[in-house]
Order: sequence, then C-alpha cells, then structure tokens
Amino acid sequence: MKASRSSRMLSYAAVAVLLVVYIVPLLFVFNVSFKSFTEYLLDPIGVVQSIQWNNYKEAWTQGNFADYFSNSLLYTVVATVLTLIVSLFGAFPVARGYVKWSGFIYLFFLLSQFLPNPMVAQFKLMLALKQELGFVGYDTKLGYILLKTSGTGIVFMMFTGYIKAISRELDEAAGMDGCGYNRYLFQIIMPLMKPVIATGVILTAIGIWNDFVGPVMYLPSPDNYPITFGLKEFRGQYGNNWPMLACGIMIVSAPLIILYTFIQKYIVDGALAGAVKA
Amino acid sequence: MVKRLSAVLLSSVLLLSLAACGGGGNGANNEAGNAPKNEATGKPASGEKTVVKILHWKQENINKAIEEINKKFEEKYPEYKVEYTTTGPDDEFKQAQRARITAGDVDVLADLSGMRLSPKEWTPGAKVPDWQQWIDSGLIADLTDQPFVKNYNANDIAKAGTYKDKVYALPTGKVAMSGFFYNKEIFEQHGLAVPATWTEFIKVLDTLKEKNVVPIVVAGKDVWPLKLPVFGLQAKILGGGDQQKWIEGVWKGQAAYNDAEAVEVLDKMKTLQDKYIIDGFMGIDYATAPSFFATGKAALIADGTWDAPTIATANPDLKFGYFPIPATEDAAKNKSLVGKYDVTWYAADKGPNKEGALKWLEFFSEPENYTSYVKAAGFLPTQDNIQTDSEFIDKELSPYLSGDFELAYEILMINRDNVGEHLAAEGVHTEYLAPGGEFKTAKELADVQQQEWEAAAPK
Amino acid sequence: MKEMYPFGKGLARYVPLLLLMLPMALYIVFYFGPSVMTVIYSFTDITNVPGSKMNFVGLDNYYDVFFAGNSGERVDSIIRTLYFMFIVTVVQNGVALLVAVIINQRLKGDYFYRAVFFLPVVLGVAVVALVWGMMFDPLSGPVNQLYDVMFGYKDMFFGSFTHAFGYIIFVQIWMYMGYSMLIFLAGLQSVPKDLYEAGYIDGTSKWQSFKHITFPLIAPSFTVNMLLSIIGAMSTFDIILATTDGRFNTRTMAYDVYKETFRGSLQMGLPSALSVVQFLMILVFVVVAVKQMRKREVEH
Repeated sequence: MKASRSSRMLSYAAVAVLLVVYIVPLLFVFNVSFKSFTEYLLDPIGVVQSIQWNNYKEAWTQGNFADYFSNSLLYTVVATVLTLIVSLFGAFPVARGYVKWSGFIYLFFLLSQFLPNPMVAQFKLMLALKQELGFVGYDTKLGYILLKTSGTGIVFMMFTGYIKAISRELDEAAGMDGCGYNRYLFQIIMPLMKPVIATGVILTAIGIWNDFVGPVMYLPSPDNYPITFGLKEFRGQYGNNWPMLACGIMIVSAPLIILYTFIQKYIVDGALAGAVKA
Repeated sequence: MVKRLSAVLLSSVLLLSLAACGGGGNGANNEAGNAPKNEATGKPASGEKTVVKILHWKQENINKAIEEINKKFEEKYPEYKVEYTTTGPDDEFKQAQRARITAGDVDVLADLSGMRLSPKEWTPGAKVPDWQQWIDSGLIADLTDQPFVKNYNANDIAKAGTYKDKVYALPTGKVAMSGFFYNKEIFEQHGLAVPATWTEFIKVLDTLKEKNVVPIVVAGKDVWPLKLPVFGLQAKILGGGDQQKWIEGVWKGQAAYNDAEAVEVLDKMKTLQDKYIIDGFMGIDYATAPSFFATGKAALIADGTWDAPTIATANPDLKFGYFPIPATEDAAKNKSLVGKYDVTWYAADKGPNKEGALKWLEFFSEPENYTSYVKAAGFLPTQDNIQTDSEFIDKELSPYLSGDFELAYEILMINRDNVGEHLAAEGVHTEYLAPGGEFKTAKELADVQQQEWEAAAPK
Repeated sequence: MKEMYPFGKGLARYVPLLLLMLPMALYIVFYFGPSVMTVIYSFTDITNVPGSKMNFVGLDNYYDVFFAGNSGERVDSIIRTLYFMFIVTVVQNGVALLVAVIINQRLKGDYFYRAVFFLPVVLGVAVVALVWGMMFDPLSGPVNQLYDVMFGYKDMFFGSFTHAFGYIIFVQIWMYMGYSMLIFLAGLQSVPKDLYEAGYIDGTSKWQSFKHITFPLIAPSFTVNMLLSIIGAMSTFDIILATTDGRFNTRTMAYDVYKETFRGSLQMGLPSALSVVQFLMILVFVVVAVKQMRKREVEH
C-alpha cells in the first residue's frame, strides 16, 4: 500500500507526538534517578548535573531489594512455567477434541473471564487452606504461586487458537511412530508454538512480577514480600526521596524490560494467533 | 504406558516439591523450624524457640524503639523469637490487622486509640467496631488479672483499655494534636507572640503574610492532617465547649451538623485553608510537610505532638514550640490541648503464642523499657512517674495539659452506619472546602452533612 | 464429538483427561468455586470474624447496595464506572486503531514504535502509577511547570476533586493503548495485500477501502479489543488504589468491592452483593457489544 508523501509526513508527525508522550515520562524518571536529593530539590526537571551512581546501590539496600527480588523471581518463574504447562495440558486436548465435551470445557474455561469477582470467597479460602494445611494458602509462597497459576486464562485461549492451526496429520504421524502424549506435547508441539509461548511468557510474567494487590492481600510477612513492596519503603519513611524512588522504579522494571526486548519480535505473531483466531 | 505414567508422576512430583518448598520457606520464617501444623494449632514444641508475632504500622521513630525492646526481650528470654511486622498506616494496617486476626496469625497487635466507637445507649443502630466484635467472639485475651496492667495509670486503662469491666488493651501513650508547631525564630523576628484568641491568631497570620512568610503548612494530600486543627475547633466550639453534649445532641436531634456551632467550625477552618495555608497544600503529603516547616519555609505546621522527634531530626538547630489552636475569643477556654490515645496493644487469645504475647507485654510494660519507648515515640506517658526528659513535653505541652485529658472528636463521636463520605470515619472532611473542592461555603457542606446524617438514620 | 486418538489405546486414552484435570482443579478451587461462593455469600450475613455463624438474609445485601442510607455514593461509583468504561473503551481503541493503521504502512522504525507503545504494559500498574505520580507532582513535577508556562495555570492532579478521575483515565489509556494497538496490528497484518490492490484498481478512496475492505476483516480484533476494554475497565481498581486510593471522587465499583472486602466492615455480604451487581453489569455490556460486533463481522 503506497501512501502519498504528505500523508506519510502526517503519519510520522502523529507517531512523533505519541512517542514524546510515551518516552518523556520514562526519561524523566531515569534522569531523576541519578540526581542527588539536593539537586532534585533545587531543579527537579533539568538534566542531571553530577551523576550519582551510588543512588542505585543505596536504593538497593534501603528498599531491601535483595530479598524481595529473589521472592519475585521465584513467584514469576515458577508460576509462569506452571501456567504455560497447565495451559498446554488444557488447550491441546480441547483444541483437538481428545476429551469428551471439549466444546463445553472450552466455554467453561472461557467463563473465567466473566465470572463474578471471587475476592471475598478467595480470601476466606486462602485463610482456610492456611489453617487446615499450613503449607499452602494465606501468607505462604506456594499459596500465592498456585493462586497466580492459571490454565484457563488468556494463555489457554491463545494456545487453543494456535494449536487449531497446527495440522492434525502431525498428531497421527507421531502416533504411528509410537510417540507418547507427553513427549509429543513437549518435544514436538511446544517448539512449534514459539511465538504464542513468547507472548504467553511475557503476559503472565508481567502479571506476576508487577502484582502489588495480590501480595497486599495474601503475603503479609516480610519474608514473602515481592519486589513491588520495595517501592513502598521509599514512601513516607524517607520523606518521599524521589531520586531513591526513581531508582526503585528502574530496579523493579529493568528485568521485565530486558525479557521483553528479547522476545518482543514474537509478540505480534502471538497476539495474532491468540486473540483473533481463538 | 510406563512412560506416560512417569510423566504424570513427574508433574505431580513437581507440584509436591513446590509444596515442600513453600512449606520450607514457611519453616524458615519461624526460624525455630516449627512444623507448620504446630503453628496453626498453637502448640509450640517444648524446648524450642517460639515465635511471638507482633503487628504494627510504620512509624520510624516508634518502630526503632520497639525493635530495641525486642532485642532486649530476646536476650532476656532466649526461648522466644519476636517477629515484628510493620505495614503502611491506616487502611493498609486495618487490612493486615483483620487478615491476621482472622487467620489466627498474630499474637500482639496494635490499634490506634483503643476502645473507641463502641455503641452507647444514646447511639441506636450504631455499627459495632472491629475490636468489639473480636472481643465478643473471644479472640482478644483478657488482661484484667495480669500484674503488668497495674503499671499503667488506672484512669487511662479505664478510658482506653476496658470493655465490660475487663481490661483488654494497653494504651501506651497519649498525644495532643489540636495545635500548631511554630518556628520561634520567625516569631521573634517579626515580633509575634503566641496568640491566645482567634482574633489574635488571625492577626499573627496576617502579619506573617505581609512579611511574605508562608503562615501554615499542612499535609493535605493525606487528608487526615487537616482534621487536627479541626479537632481543636470542635472541642472548644461545639456544645459551647461541651463536645460530648453536642455529639449526643446530634444523635437525639437536639444539635445538627448545620447548626451555627458546627458551621462556625467549618468556616474557621475554611478561612485558614483559603487564606493562610500554603498554596497547593492538597498536593503535599505527610512525609514531606515537616521539611517545609523545619527549613523555615512555613512559620507553622498543623501536626500532632508525636511529630516533634521527626521535626527535631529534620533540623536539629530549629527552635520550635507548640500551641493549641485558639478556637474562640475566650483565651482561658482556648488554653488546653485536645488529643487521643495512640498505640494500644491487644494480645490475641487464639494466636499461635498467647503465652509469649503476655510475656512480651509484661516486658514492654517494665518501667525501664516503657520509658525508652515513650521517649522515642514522643508520647505523653500513660504510666505514672515516668521521666520523659523531654524539654518539648515539659515546657511546651504541660502548660496546656492541666486537668483531665480532653479527647478529640474522632474519639468521642460514633457514626451511624453508612453515614456518607462527607462524615465518614468520624470526621467532618474540610478537604471538601479546600480551594478547588466542590463546596464554596461552609454552610453548603454542613447542609449536605446533615442530610447524610439524617439519611443514615436507622429505619 | 469423538476424535481418533492417535497416542495409544486403552488406559492411555485417559492421559489427556488426567492432565486436563490440573488446570481444571486449579480453576475450580481458586477461581470458579470462590466465584460461586461469593454469589452465595451475597444472600447471607457472613462476616470475617472467625467462628461466627452465617444466616441467609435473602436480598437484604442487594437492598443495601442501592437503598441503604447514603447508598447514593455507591450509585455514584457505579455511574463513575460506566463513565470510565465508556471513555476508556472509545478513546483507547480509537487511538490504538489509528496508531495501528499508521504503523502498518511500514514506517521506518515500526518495530521500535511498537515496542515503545507496549512498554507501559510491561512496566505494570505500580510502576506506572509512580511514574505519573512524579510527572504530576503538583510541586516539583514537570507537567505543572509546563501548564504554568503555557497557560499560567496550576493543577492538583491526583489531589484534585474535579480532575483526579480524568487523570486516572488518562493514565489507564496511556498504559493499555499499546496492548489494543498490538491486537489491531495483528488483525491488520492478516489482511491480504492483494485485496487492497484490487481496491486500488477500482479506484476506491482510502476511506472507502478502509471501510469496506480493512474494517470487516479486522472486525474480530475489534471485538476482542472491545471485550477486553469493557471487562478491563469495569474491573479495574489497582490504578485507583495506586494513585488516589479512592480519594477525590475517584471510587469505582471494583474499588468499592476491594475496599468493602478488606477495609470496610467485617460484613462480607455487602461486598459479595456488589461483586454480583458488577458481574451482571459486565454481562449486559459484553452481550450488547458482542451483538453489535457480530452484525459487522464478515464470514470468512
């Protein structure tokens, strides 16, 4: 589709304006993160005069990021991997019709997007689990991970859509060769699903790494705090030390930004498969 | 088939190992390595360290003092290990408090100003507060026969620790909050004296303004600091100075939120907000406000006496004092402070470690430990014969604290259920009158408040 | 519908079902079950006080949602939620579609633009709220200085009774525009090029070709986006929690549910009833939206 010169110019101009709206806030925070508190008070907006690398070191210790970081890493990695696995266990047989009532099961799982907010009873459930079992439920790492693991959400739907596009003949050929179900899923199907898995990884990881509401409800002990709680350490207690807070923001967001840059090229393909075909 | 089964097994092993991992993490939290089961049933295994779980909110100076006490406690009683958790204040704390007590996962918990809001015979249909529901359900330990209760002033225990003739809570300190810190140097520089009447007060503020000094700073973004001067106005103006009478009157229909006295309260605060409080105060948060005052950017700050240690730390050279808001033209009436009980301890009756909780409270209540706590917190002590060695308390506050301790509106008032946002949380919410708020006059807000009050009447 | 199962016979046929039970169990235990229980709770006087009894109270909680003293505030929250949903759905999808169409004409650096616009989704609500909290700080934030220079005006942003909600809507759209854009982009890329070329030969105008060729083909992504923003906007409370914490006239239904559950009274019937009302409203809007969209989709 060839657009005229003037409309192309207009397009670039529109994108440029939006880029400013998207990039400036992030650059601003980045810039502040290198300022000393005094410099920030004198001139919050100007380009940093003397770069304070120490800010990051200080923020890392003040925000207790060392502990929180490893907690969040555990939650994110385990719950993301589990989500992908159980979503595959759900999506494949449903997409293929290898279980009875697969159409009904698909709808039942889809319902998860519309159900009434389960917050009230979920909270009671987590408390009951803690009291009855102890190792799972309220204020346990496992309880939180299981709560965050879902085989019925957006990942399940994307997987189902994508698997439908994979030829059924492949199943049959593999079956003839005596390939087992699980080996087929993990060694043959999964490699074919790279784009949609990449999308699933990033969407799931975002939801867990950045979660701050869930931990407020379900992880009250400092030993279980996730990385987002580190940001709270800078509020109030240190009189809203914005440069420290800016460092905290950079620390919290860096890992996902790195993950995102590595797998972002897959994401449009994944979104295409999941969102539209499902 | 074997392969398939092994795959199933593998996945279940994966799940189980996670379970172990979660359980292990939990054990590590306890340090003593109690089996999680034990923790739930509350029977510590003998010979091992047992954990005392304390829940409190974040307030740096107090937190540090309590951590010190915890350290000493663990030294003296090596069989205990204290797990001291702090959350953000207010709603966040309330949320944690409820979750923990519902989960039976706390031994000692703090509450702000104990035993308030309990329905009285003049409050038909009032909501039963959390603490009362907990006590009624047997979740809070009865402290009546604990010897350490005797360490506290009997009047304070009766006022803020007793329910149905039994002691359930330890009020650990009082704070006054109906006044302003003032910068003595700025006052001297402009030849100003501490005002004793409302007219004098306005004169002082006008002078400051003329000299291009910002008169008052207050942390409007957090909203509650705006209540502090209002407490002073309410205590001196409502019911002609008998606040309790006015409050009961509101319930009985003999007083109203839009009567002359209530409107006067709102109107005086509106005057301050419109003319004398720093521009953009609704954007200043509580953590930032003291720095405005401590660096001389404002001559006064509306804040509670508990913040004196914070202000002193922010600028050790600053000379500051405190005076009650001169609410009326009657200097004698104005000359006292209004306050509340602050941190109040409860012990959970069904927590994992009640015995440890009582031990900790006993240790905390020892005069030596209590003194270090009260000093750090900046509270007025609730134990007798405690030397706070605080020049601020002895010189600045004591002149205004003779006679019985006057409680603030938010402690005395009991709201009707579903009372509406303009009266919510036992407040009168002058933030709605702030420049840019939705009400242009005090009367408009007062009328809405009275409407909401009437709409909340039990049917 | 039974399909030939190629991976063995006999017991082996049950392996897929067995494994399917994992997502099923997680779903039922942590989501579906609690959801159903919440509906049941909405007819009771259940409390969060351990050991208290639960009685059925019929529709009392629903009555309280709408008619208890000063429930006007909850009705205000509902109206505010609708307003939020409407603006977010229209503006977010409008901007996203425009950006997707622009980017899709193979501008230089399109991968970069895509990445940048999606970045806020990656950052998450807690970080985004803080970033804009700094930008919108009334005292030291750059936006207020810009306002001052340009219009000689200063705002209180998240501390303003009249403007706070508007700024929250802005941040919400800023955050999720990239997500909608990506879905549109995916749809646009599935439009076969030759369809356009055919259009060009016929001499159709740009708007005509968009209306008659592109739009019907991206209708599925349109539907998905509409649903995502309707459901998303109706259930969002984290951004409110992180910016104003419900102060300054910014409470929505979802925020009320959270607040009543964790910070209100110990009675859990009311928040349960609120959840159900919220669910019914989402249902109505989703059904309406789907019906409207279906009319436009072309079979393919």
